[in-house]
Amino acid sequence: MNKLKVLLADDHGVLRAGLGSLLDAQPDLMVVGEAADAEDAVRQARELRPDVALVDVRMPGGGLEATRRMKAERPELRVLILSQYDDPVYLHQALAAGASGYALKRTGGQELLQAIRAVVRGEVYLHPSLTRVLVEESWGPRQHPQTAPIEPLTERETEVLRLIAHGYTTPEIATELYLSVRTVEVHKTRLMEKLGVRGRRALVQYARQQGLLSED
Amino acid sequence: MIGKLLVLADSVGVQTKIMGIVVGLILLLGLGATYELRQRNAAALGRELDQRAVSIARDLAARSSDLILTNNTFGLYELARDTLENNPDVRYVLVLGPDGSPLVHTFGGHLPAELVEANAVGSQDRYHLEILSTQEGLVRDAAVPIFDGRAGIARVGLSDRRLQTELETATRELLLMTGAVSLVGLGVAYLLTLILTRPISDMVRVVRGVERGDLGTRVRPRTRDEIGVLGQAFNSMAESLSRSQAQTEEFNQRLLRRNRELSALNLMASAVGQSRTLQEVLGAALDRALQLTSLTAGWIWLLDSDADSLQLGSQVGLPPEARLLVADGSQRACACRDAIAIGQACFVDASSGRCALLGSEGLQGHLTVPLIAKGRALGVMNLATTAERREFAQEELDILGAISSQIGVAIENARLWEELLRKQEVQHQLLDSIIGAQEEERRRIARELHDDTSQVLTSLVLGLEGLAGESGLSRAAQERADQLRAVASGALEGVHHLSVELRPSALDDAGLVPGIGRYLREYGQRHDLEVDFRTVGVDGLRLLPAAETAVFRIVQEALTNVARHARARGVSVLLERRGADMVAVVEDDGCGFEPDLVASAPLRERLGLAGIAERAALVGGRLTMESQPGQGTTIFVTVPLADNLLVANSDEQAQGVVGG
Repeated sequence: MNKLKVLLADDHGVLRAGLGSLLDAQPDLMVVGEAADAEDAVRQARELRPDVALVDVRMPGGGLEATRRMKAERPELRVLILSQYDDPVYLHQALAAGASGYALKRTGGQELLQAIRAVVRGEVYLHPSLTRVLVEESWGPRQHPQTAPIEPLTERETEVLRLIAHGYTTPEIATELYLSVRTVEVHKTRLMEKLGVRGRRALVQYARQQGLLSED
Repeated sequence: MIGKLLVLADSVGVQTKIMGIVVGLILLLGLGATYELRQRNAAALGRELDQRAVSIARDLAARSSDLILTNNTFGLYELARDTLENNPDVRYVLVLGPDGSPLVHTFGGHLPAELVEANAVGSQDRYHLEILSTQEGLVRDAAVPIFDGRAGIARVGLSDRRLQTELETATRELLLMTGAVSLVGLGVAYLLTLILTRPISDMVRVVRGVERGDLGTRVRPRTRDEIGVLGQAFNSMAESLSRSQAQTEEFNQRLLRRNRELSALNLMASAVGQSRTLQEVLGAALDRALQLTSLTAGWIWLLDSDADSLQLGSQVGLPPEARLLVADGSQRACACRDAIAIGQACFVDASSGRCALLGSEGLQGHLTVPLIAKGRALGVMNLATTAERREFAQEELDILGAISSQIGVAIENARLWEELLRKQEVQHQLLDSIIGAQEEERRRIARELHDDTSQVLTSLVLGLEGLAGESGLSRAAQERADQLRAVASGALEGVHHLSVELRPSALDDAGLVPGIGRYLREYGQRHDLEVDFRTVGVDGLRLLPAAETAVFRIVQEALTNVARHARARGVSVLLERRGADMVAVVEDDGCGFEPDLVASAPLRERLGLAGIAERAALVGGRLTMESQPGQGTTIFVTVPLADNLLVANSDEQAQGVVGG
């Protein structure tokens, strides 16, 4: 049985060493090369023709840049991004660069091995903590049970609510709608009564659920 | 009638009235006297005529008795003729016989028969007088019995024509006299009225003059009578009027001067008040001063800090050579120094030789006004005079003196203001660099934690994990290795949280939205708070690092406050682009507070808010807060995009994030 050829691209020697011993200990994996920068990684990917490349997101020359170039040269190559950041913004960039997976370095060795194997199988691997973020991004945060207003909102109240959701201060709302600050306060109080909520934040959340926070 | 007369009297002058009265009186007197005299004369002459008629008739009777007795008709006739001729008024003589028939008469031919019977006398009467009306007028017919009537009756008729003529003459003379007296009276009256009315018309003239506003005319003192006294009184009244008018005039002048001074001060105040910088203040002050004095050129020299040399503060309208000379005021030990020394505005003429600048440069002289504030000389304002304009009233100098102290204060204020700005700028820079250093340090530590510490820990975890799976090791050693792995793994987790807390790398790499998003996730888990983060119109928007850091730290501080004080269930963060601003809103559903109480809260508790506000101000933003007890707290931060927007292409930014 052919072992899967793995390329390690990380500028941290300690980590490469640790990873190398972990991977080499696996019966189905074999580290064929180690690179400390993007240039080297791309060259080795070309020459050694690894099946999987583990690429540190932050290394000289740029991990994502290396990913892009390796994928351009060898589209069949699977790239698993290793990162210390669990921010979705990096995940997006990694996937856009052609990576098949995004693993966090602080994950244990077993998790990492699973990730490599999943990627090789042609799956997309994401670290579990990122999965939740992605889901929330796609479908929005947990929805609260909607409260229907006790009585319908007037046009003015809806307008006040929309501006509250848009982060206008009470004096700003007053200026915007040609009302007095006092009147805006009254509207706010009426809104809270009608919606059965307390506080500005609750009003804002209701408004958002109603789609009142639009991009104009 | 009397009314009409009074109206008429009212309509004519005093002179006419007096003359009318005088002439009227004279005429009345003259006519009355004439009439009376004429009456009296007529009576007296009539009586005399009567007596004469009787006496002539008696004489005739006496002389004719013998002739009748002797029947001497001729003699009788002679006598009758004599009587007629010797008495001028006798018109006729008639002698009747005892039987009543006429013996002789003086009528030429026919004796009128009714005449014979017209008068008769008894034999006892001595005479009888009858007045007959004849064709020749009135005739007094006196009948006297001759020889007790036995010899007949002698009758004489006397005409009163002469009497009438005399009366007429007398009357005419009297009337003439009256007329003459009237004329004299008129003259006297005229003189009298002249004497009386001249001072009055004089006074009328003066009053008219006063009425027109001419208080200089006076009544000439003529008499010592009441009118004279009145004239004097009038004169003194006009005198005091004139004096009080002069006082009023002077008061008005003073008021006007004061007004001019005030308006000059006011204009100067508004001119220099609108200016902030020293240059603006000096320029405005110079312009106003030139305007005030109708001059066109001038300059301001300011004493430097050790009051040693003069430096040009501002200049306007000077010829080119003068401009050069004025620019270097350090060597000028001229009259300006004197003006500063005496602290008063003074005029320096070219001929005085007290100013090296004058004469050669076409400058005729200059008006030097020292600028003084709080008793300290700050410099001088020199207004270049021209040939046409070289006289200055004390009033102008006073006004210049007044505005000069105003300029002095304005200079002082402008200097203080500039000093304040400079200090503020320094403070700003200091704060900026402190914050910058702090952020840099955080960034460096965060990165170091990520790049080195966590790498080492990661390899440690991996190594220990490998060790734990090493088949050659004892079970105890394997377990020990696994425990150590767990410890290292926990440390790795801790390092991770710490670095996010210090400064999320996404903030630097991808901007505010990922930065705040990342922090919020960490924050929500740590404090067990329900968080939500919404953005409107800010995706891909990158601000300058300082601005992004500021907004991030403000949000972070606000969130920290929520976690610390709010007792909230959840926090919402909104980041929205609104027009030219970026608005960040952090609101919780916690306990809230009474906004009025915040101001009186202890400094320590307010410090967090003060820090946020200061941070916002550093990037030109401002902070607002709304809260009510039980209704949560909302913090609004508005940052203008104008000066804070990152100019580079945002796509490039987004792409090149992880590259470095």
